[in-house]
Amino acid sequence: MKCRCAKTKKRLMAHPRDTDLPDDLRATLESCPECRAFWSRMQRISGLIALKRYEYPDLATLDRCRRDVHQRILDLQAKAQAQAEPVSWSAVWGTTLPAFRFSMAALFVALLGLHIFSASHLPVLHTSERSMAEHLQRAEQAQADQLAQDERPNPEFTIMMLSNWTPRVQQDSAVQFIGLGQ
Amino acid sequence: MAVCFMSENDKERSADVQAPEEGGEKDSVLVKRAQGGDVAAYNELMRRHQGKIYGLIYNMTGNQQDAEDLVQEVFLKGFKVLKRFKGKSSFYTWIYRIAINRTINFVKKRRNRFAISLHDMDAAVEADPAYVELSSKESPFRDASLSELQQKLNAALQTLSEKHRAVVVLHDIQGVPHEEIGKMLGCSSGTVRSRLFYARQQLQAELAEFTP
Ligand SMILES: [Zn+2]
Repeated sequence: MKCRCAKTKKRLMAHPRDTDLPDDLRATLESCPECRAFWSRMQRISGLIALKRYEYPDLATLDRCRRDVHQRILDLQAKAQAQAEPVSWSAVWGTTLPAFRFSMAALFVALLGLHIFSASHLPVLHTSERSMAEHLQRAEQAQADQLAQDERPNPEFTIMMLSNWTPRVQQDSAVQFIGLGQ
Repeated sequence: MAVCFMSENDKERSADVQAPEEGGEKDSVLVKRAQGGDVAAYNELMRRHQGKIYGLIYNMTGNQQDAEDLVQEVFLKGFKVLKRFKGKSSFYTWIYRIAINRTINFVKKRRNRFAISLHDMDAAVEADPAYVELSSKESPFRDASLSELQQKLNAALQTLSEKHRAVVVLHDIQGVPHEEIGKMLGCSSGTVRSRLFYARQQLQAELAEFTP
């Protein structure tokens, strides 16, 4: 039976070691020179590449690697533990970056300066407020006077009405009330 | 003193990767302890697996220093995310997965700006059947130096795409079975076989002089 070489080669690749070959595949290799040559080359390539397993580092290199990793893990654990514990503000301040500390100090000085500047201008502000209050009060008074002026009854009419039925004393009061006695 | 990652026998190599627990506590026990913050337990896990992880990264990158740095990154990341490890796979499959992803990302980023820096081959290579055949009297490469062979193997490996290289390194160099590679790469064992097939064809073209 003629060998279907492409298929045989794929099957051969599923058994990369000579010792793994099933009997039917071994028989095919016996009968097909092309597949036999292919198998032989693949085995040789595999064997050559496998020679690289003789390249390895010395124990000292691996020990150093392991020690370094060990130390880095211990550092990580210490860091994680430090983060888990509550810290004082002074400790936080001490560990912050110099640039951040400088920025915070500058901000504090700026705020302090602003506060002092505002405090020195407070009297002016108060005077202004008082002037405004007085101005408002005067305006209200003027408005009230104007209102009183508008609502002031006719003096002659009032005297006539009062003289009809009010005693003299009351008439005088009324005269005073309507401003004629001034 | 040097440390050998894999034995010469393929089956032993596979077993080495599959059963890395060398007596003492099982990986799963150490993982539980490490998840509770036991650094010594994690250190032991690292000791057991770092050789293989180093081998994977070294062969993927072709650079000793990169391998050293990445091994550290991988195990550090492993510790950070260990609480998320639910034990659905073995620890070694899980840490391999982290290593593969991290290394593939690294190799993609560095692209054409890297220097080769290789370890010397152990003298034991001279007893390996593949090397014996290569250095036999009949071979045209009997006079090729070991470092020359090393350079060519590494150059050929570096021509593969990251995914194909990962499969070749895991299977042909580290002896990890297809199914296990599939778990590590998040694909089927069929995909692993297919990648291996194409990778070897490409390697054959690159190393044609060694496979007459
Ligand atoms: Zn055939």
